[in-house]
This record gives sequence, structure tokens and C-alpha cells, in this order.
Amino acid sequence: MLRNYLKVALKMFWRHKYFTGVNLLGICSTLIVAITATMVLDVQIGEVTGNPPPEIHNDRTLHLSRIVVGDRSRDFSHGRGIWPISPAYAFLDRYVRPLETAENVTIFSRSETRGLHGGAEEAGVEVRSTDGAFWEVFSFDFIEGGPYTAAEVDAGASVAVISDRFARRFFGSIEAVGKSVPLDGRPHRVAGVVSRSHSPRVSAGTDVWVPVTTAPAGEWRPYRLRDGGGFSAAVLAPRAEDRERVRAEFAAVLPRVEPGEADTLLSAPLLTAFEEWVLEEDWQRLAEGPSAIAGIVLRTVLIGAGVVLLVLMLPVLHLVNINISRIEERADEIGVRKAFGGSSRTLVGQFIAENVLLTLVGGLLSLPLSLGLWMHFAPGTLDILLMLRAFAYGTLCAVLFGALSGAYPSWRMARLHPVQALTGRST
Amino acid sequence: MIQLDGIEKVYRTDKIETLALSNINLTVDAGEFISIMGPSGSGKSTLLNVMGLLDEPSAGDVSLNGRHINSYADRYLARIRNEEVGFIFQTFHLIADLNVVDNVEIPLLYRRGLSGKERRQMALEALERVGLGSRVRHFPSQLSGGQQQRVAVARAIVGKPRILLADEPTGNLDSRMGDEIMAILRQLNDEGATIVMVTHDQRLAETTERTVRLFDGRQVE
Repeated sequence: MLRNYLKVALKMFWRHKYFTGVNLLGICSTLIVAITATMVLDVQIGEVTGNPPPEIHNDRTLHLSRIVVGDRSRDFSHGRGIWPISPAYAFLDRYVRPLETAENVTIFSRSETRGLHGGAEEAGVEVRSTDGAFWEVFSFDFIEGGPYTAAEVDAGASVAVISDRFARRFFGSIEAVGKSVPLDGRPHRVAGVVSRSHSPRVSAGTDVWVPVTTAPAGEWRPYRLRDGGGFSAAVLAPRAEDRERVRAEFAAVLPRVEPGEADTLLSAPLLTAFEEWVLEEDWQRLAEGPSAIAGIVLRTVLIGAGVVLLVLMLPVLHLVNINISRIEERADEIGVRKAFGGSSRTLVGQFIAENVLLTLVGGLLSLPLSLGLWMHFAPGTLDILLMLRAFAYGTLCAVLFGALSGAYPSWRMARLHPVQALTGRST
Repeated sequence: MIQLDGIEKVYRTDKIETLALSNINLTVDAGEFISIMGPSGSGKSTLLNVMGLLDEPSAGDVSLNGRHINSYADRYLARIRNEEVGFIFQTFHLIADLNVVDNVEIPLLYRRGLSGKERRQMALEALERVGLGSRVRHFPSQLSGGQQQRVAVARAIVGKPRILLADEPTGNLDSRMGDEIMAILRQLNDEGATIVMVTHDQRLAETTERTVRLFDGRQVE
């Protein structure tokens, strides 16, 4: 049956070369956008829901990188006097590190540019300050040497771990262990060299990692709320399903948090990487409290899906229009098929199948174009699994696009009265 | 075989109501070959469409092969049309994009339980019966009018329906080709098919067993 349908469809496409060409062009460009956008989302979501090195325990890690504080002198219940900030080291050390349900906790700073003096070039470098547990929670691939130890951190030793990229830039080779990196004029001995992750999201990545204790004490020791400190905590739960227990324990701790001089803590949510990613541009909403976060995440995801659907709907509507005129030409065929036993439902299936065929052809053309674009703009990031997923997305997008754009015209024409159809009246 | 009782068909628009058929009572027995005659607009084709379940009567009852049609639901009618009725149209209504054998296969596409091979075999047999066994790969545009109508006849009989409804099957053919088609129809009737044929041609009507005449939607004979 399908062969019979497809023969007619192919002949039809061939007879209307201009229509088919324009149609294919529209389908291709839409699918290129759809496939590329889906691949970008796939990579991003893969990073925040999967376990990309070095965050190989992502599935059982919770992050605390923003807290929300409120000014007690203002009525922050109306949204005024509220600040989402990166917490201070001392805050995290006092309230997060002791969590008993956690398997491990690391506290580390955001990546900041520090002055680089005395090397091959005068420049800055991205640096993170970490504790000793950092190297246990995250699993970096050491090309040479190893991490600095907790004892070195406690002792305030001037040591550093550097990325292979920085090693090449600064020393001209990755053989850098034992050499010295001057940060803000102070030499740091290189303890290890790690390969730098390609992932743009990875929260632990940078070019140089140093013990937090090498920074001036005033930057990390004082307990503060409002001024923050630019630190994050990554809390490793024993298992993925234990994350809720960790959250519950931390929620019980929060009411006992010591307020600042003029501020009080409003919210300090332990978030999964995915939740963090969704809320990234909208930290203010953390003030709505931890219980509202799941709702916010769901709403954001739904709104995102709605926007994508709306964007797809524009070319779909255009294709619907073209398809109606194309199918109207075939009123006689519809009449014949109905006279000889084709039901409306069968005919809807036929026309949708034909339309999906056309969009699948468009998908086949747009897939290599999408992959080509990807390789051009993100070289070295296209692995075989991503290609396979891109193929699946392409097929899915094409089928969805074909079904959506074929459904209404097919339904409309299949409802045509057989006598009207046989007399060539399609409306 | 075909039983029509009190059939009426009214076409309505916002302003106009047209009575196409009025109180038609007709019985066509199994194996009968009848013709329907009447001037243009007398309701011949409408009557044929009602018999073939392509059109729903405004009033009255239709029975086909002892099956009383009590529902005009799309899928139900499609199944009965597929199993019980074969249509032959004046303008052939072949699908130009399909070759001869694919056109003939169409009714079998909607028949459950047939493999592609069985469908192809049945279509080839039907084409042999109408003398077109050597033209199965041709497209309609490569055939004469008479040959196209023979393809249409093959399509009508391929599913072995017991009723054939022919709407002026020779109307677009010259007399020689028309005679060829009539010969095929008579042969099918001899083999047991019940045939109802709409025609303007008195000469052809006389070759059938009985003629029903319509005038202004009424049965006058």
C-alpha cells in the first residue's frame, strides 16, 4: 500500500519541480535550524544532566553557588532590598561543609583573572582557589604530576595545578611540573598538569587552580552575608537518590544561619547542575524559596519548549498552505480512492505519509549541512555519538514537521465528499 | 441484490432546494443487467451514486446483497463499497501518475489480508480478462480511450464485487470502442455480475434486460 502511495507522491513531486524545490529549500532551512538548536541543547543538557569529566559525579552532586539575602531595614517581601550573591567561603565552610548526609564537600572560588608576572609574556590568567577536597569531588585527567594535598592547603603552600592549554602557552610545553608560575608576583610551584575540558559549562574548569589559603586571609576568612565572596560549594551525595536527604539536612540548618549586620538569609538552595543551568539568568527568583524552584524550573522548560514550537509553527503554517493547494489538485484521485474503499482515515494516513517522505528527504539534505555548520563553528566537539543523536533529532524533527504540516490539509481533503471529489470540486 | 425503497435525494443550499430523486422504488435482482435512461438532470447519476453508497439519500432505504444500510458512517460505507461494488465512470478516472497495473490494484489496497504479491497477481488476472495483459506497465496517457476504459473495467472487477455500477461507460468512446466495452460488460454479466448501467444510448439500453427511465428525479417506467 505504501509503495502505491509513494509512487504517486514521487511522481507528483517530480511533476512539480519548482514547488518541490522551493518546498525542500524551506524544509531544509527549517530543519537545519531545528537540528542545530537541538544539538546545542543536547550538548548543554548533556553537560548538566550527564557526567562530563571532570564532573563525573554530576548525577549525585548538588551545588550552592548563589544565596539570596535581604536587607532587614527594608520590606523585602515586596521584592526590594534583595540580593542574590555568591556566598563567602566562611559561610560555606560553616554551614555546608559539616553536612553529615554528604559524602564529600568542596568549596572553591569562581574563576578570576589574576596577574601573571615574570613569565614569557605579561598577561593575566584565569585562576580558581580551592580546598583540598576539590580534587576528590572532581575527577581531572592529570597528564603530569598530581593535585596539591589537603595538608598543603592547610599550610597555605604556594602550589598550583595548571591546564595543558596554559602550560603550552606559558611554558611552551606540557612538561611543567616543578616549574614556577608567578601569580600576583608570588611564585607557585606546579604540582600537576590537567587536560582542559572542552565543555564551556563545567563549573570546576579554569587554567590555574591554587589553594584557597594562598589568598590574603581577608578574602576568604571573614564571615559575611551581603558582601558575599565569590565562592561555590559542590556537595557530593553518596548516591543520586540521597540528594533529597542532603537538601533536607541543609534546609534544617538554614534557620540557624547567623545573620549579617543588617541582612538576613532568605534562600540558599542546593541545586542540581540542571536546575542551576535553568536558573542561570534568573537568580533573583531564588528568593521565591527552595520549594518554588522545581516549579520555576518546570515552567522555564515549558516556556522554552513553547517558544521552540512557536518558531517551528511559522514554517509549518507556510507548508500547510502549500500542501493545501497541492492536495487540492488531487481531488480526482481522492474520489477514486474513496469510491473503491478508501476511508477518510486511510487517506489522511496516505497524505501524511507522503508529506513526511518529503520532509525526510529534506532532513537527509539538511543533516550533513547541520553537521558541517557544527564542525565549522565548534571544531573538535562532534563525536560519533553526537552525530548519531543528530541523525535521530533530524529524523524526529522531519517526521514531526511533516506530520504537523500535513495533518490539516490531509484531514481537510480526506473529508471531501466522494461525489464532489469525482467531479473535481475540492471545496 | 439491490433494493431501493422510497429513495429521495434533495440538494440544499442556503436559498435553493433541488429535488434530485423522488420516491424511487427499485429492485435489481442478482445477475440482472439493467440500464437507467433519462434526459440530462433527470437524476440518473445521482441514483447510481445512491446505489453505490457514494451519496446518502435524504430519505428511504438501501439494501445491497441483503445487507440493509443502516449507517452512513465513513468507514462502514468504505468497507461495503470495497467488498460489494465496482464503479466504471464515463471519464475513466484513472490516476495519471500510476501505471495500468497500479491503477487496477487500488481497490485491493483497502482489502485486508492480501499480500503485495497476491494483489499484483489479481490485478494481472483482471487485466488479462479485459485483454490488456500486454499493457500493464503503460501509463494511462499512453493508452487509447477504449483501452483506458478497459483498465477502468479491470479496476472495477479486480476485487470480485458482485455489483458493477457503470455511469455512461461508453459515453466518451467511439462506437467501435463502445461496443468492445459493452461486450466485456455482457461477458461479466454472463459470468454472474449484477450490472446497472446509466446510458443515453437507446441502442445500448436495448441490449440490457430491463430499462428504468427517470424524468425530473421520478421513475417513469
